[in-house]
Amino acid sequence: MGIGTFGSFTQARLAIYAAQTGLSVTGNNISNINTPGYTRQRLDQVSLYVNGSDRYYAEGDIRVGQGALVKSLSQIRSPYLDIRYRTVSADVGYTDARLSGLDQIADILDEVGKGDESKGEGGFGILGLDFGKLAAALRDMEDQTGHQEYDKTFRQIASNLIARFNTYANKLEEVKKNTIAEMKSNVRDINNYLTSIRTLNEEIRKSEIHGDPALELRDERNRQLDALSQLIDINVTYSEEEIAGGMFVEKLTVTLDNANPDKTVHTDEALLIDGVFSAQLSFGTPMLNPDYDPEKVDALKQELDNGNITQAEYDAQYEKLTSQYLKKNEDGTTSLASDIRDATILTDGENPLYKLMISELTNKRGDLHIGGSSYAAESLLAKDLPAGINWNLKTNTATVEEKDVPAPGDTTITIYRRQPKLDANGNPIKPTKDDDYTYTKQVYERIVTKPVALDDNDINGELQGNRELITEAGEFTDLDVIAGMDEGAGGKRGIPYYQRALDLLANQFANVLNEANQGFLTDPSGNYVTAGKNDAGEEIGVPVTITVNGVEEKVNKDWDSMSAAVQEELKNKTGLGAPLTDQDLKDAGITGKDILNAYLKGQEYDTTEKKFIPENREDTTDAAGNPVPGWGQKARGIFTGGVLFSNNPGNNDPSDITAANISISNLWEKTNNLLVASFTCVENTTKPASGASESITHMRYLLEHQEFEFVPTTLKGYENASGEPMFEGTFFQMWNGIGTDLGEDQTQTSTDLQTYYERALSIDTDRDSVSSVDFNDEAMNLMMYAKSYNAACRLMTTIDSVLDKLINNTGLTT
Amino acid sequence: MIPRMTTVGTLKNYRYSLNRSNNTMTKSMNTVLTRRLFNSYGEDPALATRCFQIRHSYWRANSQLNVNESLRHKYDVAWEATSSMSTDLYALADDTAYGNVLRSLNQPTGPGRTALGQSLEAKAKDLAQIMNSRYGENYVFAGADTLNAPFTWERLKNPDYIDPEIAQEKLADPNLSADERKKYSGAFQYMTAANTLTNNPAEAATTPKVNDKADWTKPNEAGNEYFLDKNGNPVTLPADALQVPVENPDYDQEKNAAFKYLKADGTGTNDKNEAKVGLCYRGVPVDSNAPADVEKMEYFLNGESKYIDVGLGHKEDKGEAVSSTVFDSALQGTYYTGGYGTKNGVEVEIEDPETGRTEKMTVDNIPKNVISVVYEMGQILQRCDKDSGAWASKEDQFRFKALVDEYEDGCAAFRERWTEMDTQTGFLRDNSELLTDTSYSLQQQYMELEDVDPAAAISDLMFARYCYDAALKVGNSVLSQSLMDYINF
Repeated sequence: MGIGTFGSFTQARLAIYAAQTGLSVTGNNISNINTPGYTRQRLDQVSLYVNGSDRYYAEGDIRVGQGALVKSLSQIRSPYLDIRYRTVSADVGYTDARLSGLDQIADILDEVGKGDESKGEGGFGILGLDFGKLAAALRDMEDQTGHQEYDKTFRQIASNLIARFNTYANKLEEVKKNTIAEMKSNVRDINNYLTSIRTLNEEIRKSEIHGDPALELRDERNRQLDALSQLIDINVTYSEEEIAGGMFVEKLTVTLDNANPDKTVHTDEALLIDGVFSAQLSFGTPMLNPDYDPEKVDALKQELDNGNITQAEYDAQYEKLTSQYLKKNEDGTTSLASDIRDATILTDGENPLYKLMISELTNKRGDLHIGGSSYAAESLLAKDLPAGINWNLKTNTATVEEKDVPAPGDTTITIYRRQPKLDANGNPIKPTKDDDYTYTKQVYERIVTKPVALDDNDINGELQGNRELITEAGEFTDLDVIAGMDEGAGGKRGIPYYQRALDLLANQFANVLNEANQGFLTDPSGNYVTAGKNDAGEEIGVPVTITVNGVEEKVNKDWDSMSAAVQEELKNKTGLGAPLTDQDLKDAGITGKDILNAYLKGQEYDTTEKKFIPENREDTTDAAGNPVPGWGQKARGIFTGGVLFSNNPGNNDPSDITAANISISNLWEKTNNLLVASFTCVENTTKPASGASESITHMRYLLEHQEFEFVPTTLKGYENASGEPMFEGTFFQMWNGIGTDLGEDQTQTSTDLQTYYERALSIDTDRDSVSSVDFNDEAMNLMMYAKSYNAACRLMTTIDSVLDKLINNTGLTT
Repeated sequence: MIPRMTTVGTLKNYRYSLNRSNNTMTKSMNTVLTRRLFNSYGEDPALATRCFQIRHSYWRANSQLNVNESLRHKYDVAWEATSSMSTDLYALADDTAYGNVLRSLNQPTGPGRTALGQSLEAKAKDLAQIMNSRYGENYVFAGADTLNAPFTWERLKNPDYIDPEIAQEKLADPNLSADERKKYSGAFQYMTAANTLTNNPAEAATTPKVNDKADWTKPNEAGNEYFLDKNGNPVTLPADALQVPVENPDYDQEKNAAFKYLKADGTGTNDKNEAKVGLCYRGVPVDSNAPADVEKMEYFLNGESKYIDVGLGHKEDKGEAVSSTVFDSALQGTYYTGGYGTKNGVEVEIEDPETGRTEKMTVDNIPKNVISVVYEMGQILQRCDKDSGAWASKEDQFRFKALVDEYEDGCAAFRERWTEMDTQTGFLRDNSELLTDTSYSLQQQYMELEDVDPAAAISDLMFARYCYDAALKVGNSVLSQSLMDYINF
């Protein structure tokens, strides 16, 4: 059938309508050229062709289309580019956060261009320069020994150096706090995005059900996914979801993007959004059962089978080996938990690594998400069927439903099917017994969403960048963390690394100078001296001795120079003799110098407490208020000097000094000339010469030239870190090394950021080339639709003119 | 497929490029403003690290130079002092020690020797004063005892003095050896009636004073009575005799261990004001041969050091400085003044100008220290007869001759050591130049590493500015033309 007489009007009308809609779409594209996330839209139109068969087919009957039909509007978007963009976006977020943190650390520790140029210091270094100034002050003291003003100058410079340590440590702590706040803000943003995307999914779903493609909502969702991808690495997939018989709508699923290099770990693929269900992120980690080790179950079973353990023992042990978590009870005890939902979640101070958890997925109403899994059907023999199976004789099927399997809340449905076996001709036999059937079984699981505890390396993006800034301690990382969580943690440096490196420098600096400034006086031959009298009754220096086999032997500061018998007696006198062996002393880190020191102080080693007692020089009182005499009363030698640096300005405690607490000791603050210039007395005296300065020379050597091993385990709380030195060199070199590490980290991260950013920009440009609006394109569309509109109008006029001729002028004669 | 360059894409790219262009310009501007090739470790970690190290070395070199200069000044003072001393010791002027010594040898008449003696004693004190020179607040020739004057004139203690309490304590020890027992017993002059030891004559047992001038071979002659009375007259009966304390047989009159001090004539006294005055170096009598004093002097001279880092590559071995890597700035006064202790058994020959006969004598305790020598010469000359100028004793005459010989030896040694000091001063001068050069060189090195080439930096800035301006101009036309502008319906 051809087109009807007035059908041509419809053609024109549809053409006008299509052109007008096209103009509207073009207008909308032009209007939104600056709208963030806007994807250009395209009018999808088709030629209207009424498909049907005439009852009587006539040859020559030409079928013409009936015009243009506007079918839909669509977006032009490349999912592949979206995936690439979001992957690199997480890298940009990670490196950007990291570089920003490193820049903040550099603002504190990087001393390039810092300093007072007016004092001829060249504007190059502050704390680093203080080390040089300290050494210079000591050098001056070597020349001008005994003059109090030089001692005061040294103390003032040391005080300045300490103030720098304190300031830098405080500022680093401040950066850490700010980064923690930023990281928490990252988590809040991520949660907002997850909720918002879930809401958008719902709206899009509704719109789709009503036939609206909801393009603007999709744009918004894409924009939010882009933003989310910078904070955390995500993998976005689209699938069809059947909502009613035969009706499908699109479902968006977002998971973590498999960031963990350990391929056996799957928590890095955890579900974040599944259609209208979404999870939330939070800081926390389940309390783990240290005995959890399912691999040992087989061996345990073997023990049971061999009769080595009872069933009850097996059960108890089995539970221990298979329960991954612990639950804290109200009475403070813990009990085993195999389900993460029953585990106690550790937060705040109990979660120092700021580990993350993903919650259960819920929809807007709070319903839990239930995921399904189905497994391939498998054959089985009649003997393997469960007992008491109840067959449906019509369908030859049996269904077994198990609640709370594999985990509480889950359901496992097993469908058994049977078919009669075939005879030789391929015809089913008439079954009379179970073995006359072939059986299959298929398992379906309905899994209720559960929280997921994320591993250290499960995420990427800005959140992880900030997390690593807060937690990564480089060489100070606990070896258990390296072994169990992140093999590469020893090479990752965040704020804690720089804090601890600074602590280690301050600690070693204080310990070395404190040790150098305390000791017992010796004569020029190195024999320790004590006060005695000569025949004239004058006070003189006499050697400290020890009686060995009835002979008084001198005690010398050079342990190796003394005979084995003297060394042995010194050990006996200090509680380090038999049964303790040399190996025991070595294991305890006790050196000859320590033994000499203890002998001179009159101390004895307490093998239980593993320390020399009495510890303090001054008399103290114990916890019960009983007086505890100090070694000051019992000392065999003449002790001189004292602690220069302490962990608090109000005390003289040199233990556990860090960059934050290092202080001029109370003793030094109150004592002039505490700096020991010399430990060597003039022959037969108890006093060094007034200008003797070998101790100052030694101290300056320690400051300027001595290369130390900076070992992370020296710091309190880091005993389980690597025992290898993180640096070997002088104090200044260590400080310079911290700057170098920081500089290298910055350079590397900056290069990475540049690379990722350019790649992101390139991909974004590619996306724009597909999805964004272009004036030339739209101008072409304008022209095209305008011309189409004109042509359609012309068509209308022509048809009108033709029909006018046909209707009004055909057959009429004038 | 040819990429579709869209308006939005073009804008994004332009924005990014413009930002980079601006960044480059800002960096170039900072380089010009700071005149430094890098402004953070992050810009060039390796270079920044090197520059910090070189600057640290530069600081150290400057500090070493400062100390070296201070040492140079100390040696200048030492040089001045020794110059002045050299004039005194061997210049042929009237007011020098040498002049006085020569004149005293020329058989002066009348009160000449006494006057010369006074002059020499004063000169000895001058010499000691010269050796007490200070640089700043530090005594130059005091070794490591820089805060105390090294040479002092002090009342000399008896080196053999034994404190009675110490002696009693020692004697109470039953295991004391016989020699030790004799030594400590020798701390007491007298024996009591109970056979104990004491230094108090009132506690001592008494015995009639024996006539020690009597000729026992002629007991019956007058004047050879066995005892002496309180007036010193010989008496026969013990009852008429003067009762004197019983002496301790272990007491050694030469050592005089019961007395804290010794008088000029060698007798003991406990009154400090009566004690002999002598030269002391850092509290130790310069002319003492007592083992404890010699040990100290030996330590001062050979064991003591005061090390200063003047850039010789300070190294340590077992916690102690390796001496070749540091400069020992301890100048020991005794080293420059002929040492310490005395010489014994010095053979002296004197020819009598009238008879032409040569007389020989062996003298002991000739001081080695030239100041002590001059002092003692002064003392001997002052003992000469004030009218005739004759020597107070033959011993004085021989002793004076021995002192003159020792004086000449001391002067020769001084000259040698003065030359040595010249070498040390020269070393410090050369080292100062070396450190100055090092300092300049290090400064040059870090400047070369850090500082920008101004021409290059300004050119870079101009180019960056040019690029940025061009980028701005491009921006103006990025969106100026499109098909939209040509549509005409």
